Amino acid sequence: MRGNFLKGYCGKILMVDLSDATFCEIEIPDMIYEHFLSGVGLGAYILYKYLPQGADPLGPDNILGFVSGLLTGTGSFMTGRWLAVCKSPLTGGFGDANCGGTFSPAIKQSGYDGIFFKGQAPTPKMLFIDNTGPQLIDATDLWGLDTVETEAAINQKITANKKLSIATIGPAGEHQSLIAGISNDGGRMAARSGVGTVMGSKKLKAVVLAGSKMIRSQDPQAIKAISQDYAKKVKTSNLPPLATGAMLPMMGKSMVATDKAIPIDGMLSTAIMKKWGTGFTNTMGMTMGDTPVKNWKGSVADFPYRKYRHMNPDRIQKHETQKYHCYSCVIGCGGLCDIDKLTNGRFPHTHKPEYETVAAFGALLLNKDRDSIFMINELLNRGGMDSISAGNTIAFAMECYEKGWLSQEVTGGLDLSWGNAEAIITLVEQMIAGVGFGAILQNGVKIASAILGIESAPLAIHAGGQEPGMHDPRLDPILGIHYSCDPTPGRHTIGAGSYYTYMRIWEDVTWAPKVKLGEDKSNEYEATNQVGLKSMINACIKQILDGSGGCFFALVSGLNHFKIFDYLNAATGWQKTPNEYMTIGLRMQTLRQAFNVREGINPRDFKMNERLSGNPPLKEGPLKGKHFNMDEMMSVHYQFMGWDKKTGIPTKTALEDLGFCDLEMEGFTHG
Amino acid sequence: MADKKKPVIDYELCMACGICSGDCPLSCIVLRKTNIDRYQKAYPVLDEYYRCTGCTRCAKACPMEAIGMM
Amino acid sequence: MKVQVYPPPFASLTALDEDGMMVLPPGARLSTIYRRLKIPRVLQPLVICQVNYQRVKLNTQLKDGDVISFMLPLAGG
Repeated sequence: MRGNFLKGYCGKILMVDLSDATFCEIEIPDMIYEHFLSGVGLGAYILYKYLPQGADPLGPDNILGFVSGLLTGTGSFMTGRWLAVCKSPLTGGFGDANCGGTFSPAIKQSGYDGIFFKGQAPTPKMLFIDNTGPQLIDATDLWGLDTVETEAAINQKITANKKLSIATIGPAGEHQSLIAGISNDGGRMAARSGVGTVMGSKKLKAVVLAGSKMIRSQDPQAIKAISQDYAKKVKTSNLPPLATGAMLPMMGKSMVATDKAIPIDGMLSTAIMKKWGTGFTNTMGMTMGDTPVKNWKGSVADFPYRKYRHMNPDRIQKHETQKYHCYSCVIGCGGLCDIDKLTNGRFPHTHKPEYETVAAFGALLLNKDRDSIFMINELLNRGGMDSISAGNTIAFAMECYEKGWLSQEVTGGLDLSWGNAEAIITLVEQMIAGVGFGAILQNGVKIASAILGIESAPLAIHAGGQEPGMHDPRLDPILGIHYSCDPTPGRHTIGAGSYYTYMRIWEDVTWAPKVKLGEDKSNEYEATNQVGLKSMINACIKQILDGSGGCFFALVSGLNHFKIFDYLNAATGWQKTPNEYMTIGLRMQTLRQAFNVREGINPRDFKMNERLSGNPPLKEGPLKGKHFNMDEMMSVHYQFMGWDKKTGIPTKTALEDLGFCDLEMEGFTHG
Repeated sequence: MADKKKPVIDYELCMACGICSGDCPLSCIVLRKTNIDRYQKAYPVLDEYYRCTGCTRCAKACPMEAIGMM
Repeated sequence: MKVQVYPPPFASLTALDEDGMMVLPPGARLSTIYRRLKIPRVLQPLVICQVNYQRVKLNTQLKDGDVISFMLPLAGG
């Protein structure tokens, strides 16, 4: 029994050995949470400690973790996120994927901050936890079902006192497509890093949670006060009826019309998210240049208004029947959409397509068929495959086809002309099933390119094997830094110049540079000290967010509103300053990087395809001529992280200064 | 049984965040009630009146103090 | 008194310091802010303005520490 357990976290994890079907509860000392928080930090700690060096990501030695956040379930708002963590089969380094829905609190309500799996089950299994404890249940009859069918079948099979919260893989994870993800709540996805692949390699079909343990924190009243303050502002942040989707392209144009920084109040972003969700930028991104076009080599000139207008989020909203909130969210950017008619009865409904999916299967492929995107969305959710990776991989194939490198024999008769919606849908189905031409594309763009030949490599857009999110570094170069430098490369939610501005972190962290009203934004294309500092701050705060179970959209609504540091102190009883939390974030990020180096990754190998740094630059569109030196940008980021400027390897000084508790940080080359 | 107090939700205060539904040990509260606001959010409803044991977890968990026990 | 302003993109920034703070005489109204930011009359109905995250009338009196946030859905946001 623990002494004082009122700290927001549970203080223990469950380690499941799927090979011999045993369970082990591991108590985690307070000191670990103080060094690494919970969530991704706890996940990185467990992986670094227990995963044998050099483990095969698809073998029994890999560890797959489902981690909740330190703030989840404490009465804080916007903290209902969870992560899957593992060694990534896609990049060979640290892997994680962030997801929402109802699964995160369910993890802690089962009594654990995280549930980890090692080994491999001899036959398909699911883990079920209720208040009596964990058990492994045969899932052979579920193997082969899609994620939606699986949840329905499990609900038939298992009854519990509490509604089941289920995370499951689909066919893509089962046959180990390297871009497979994990789905919960009928289509919320932990999609990146190939986390679903690892789950499939372990023959783990689903994790089913029905516990109801209480989550306790140090000062619930203080947490409540912060929550009420946040909610009050969100409640009154609403767009007027006269604001329509038709205005968004013009809004995009004006956002890039000036090089002067005009920091907006992030709270107003919640008004936009309440109305449209992430789809607000379907068309706005086109005029800004944020949305990549034609495998990142095109611009709005290739996908003009008469085509992109079909992605007007108002048109997406027409299918929405109900809003969807993740647990503890007061914004509710999600939605459930009726797609019965447009899929000819094949699928009754789908989670509203996110911007990433609309862009990856719209502008990126020059596809203006909006209905096809709803279909693709549901196919990928059910199949359990990452839409960002799938879209990027198909874009690569289309560019190869355009060049005449792929005969119809190779594509199995598919005409991969840009914008051919029918072919795209067929190809997605093939990728999920791992058949036909889809079998070549099902493992992402790096492997597809390796299969098709070396000349195709420049067309394969990825960083260390991970395909990038739908946000262009040629518009915001700090985005490019994180694509190339994060231990999980290719990720668009880690940092950007714009995120830095919205966060207003300088109001809390004393050494964070302030974005002054009217200052010149154009200097973010140079590898200056300020760029290095901002990108370092991005990386650290992202770790704090992912250690807390926090939502990215709460972060960019402004830390002056989403008072994460106050929340953390109130939950745990710690009295840490924001500066001290940033050190924790730095430690968490350094641990993830150290994991990569230990597993033999050369950080410089994660450099994003040079197309995204504007080498060569675009000749048309809002990003015409934009370019930056990615190598120099990477160097300045490494420098400010306390890593070797040339190699990106954490320095001995940095490791000693930060302190990593009982983790063995020697044994790999560092400067 | 009839004397047990049950949760009553004040929809003026409720933010449809789903904490009450997620925390209820018996899943008595579901998110379903729409047509309350312009956004068509799914608000909580006490779906299982007789299953509810009056444990007050929902009322205590609600950050907006929108749930009273009556 | 000092108030925090988040101006819309096309506003004149001369009345604001680098933190977006504006100094006003006590009892000044929201309309003063519109005037100092030089927001064109024709755009005024399209501008979303909140004082402490509430929609208020143009003649509302401001107080020290108020937060005035602007968004122009037609431009910027």
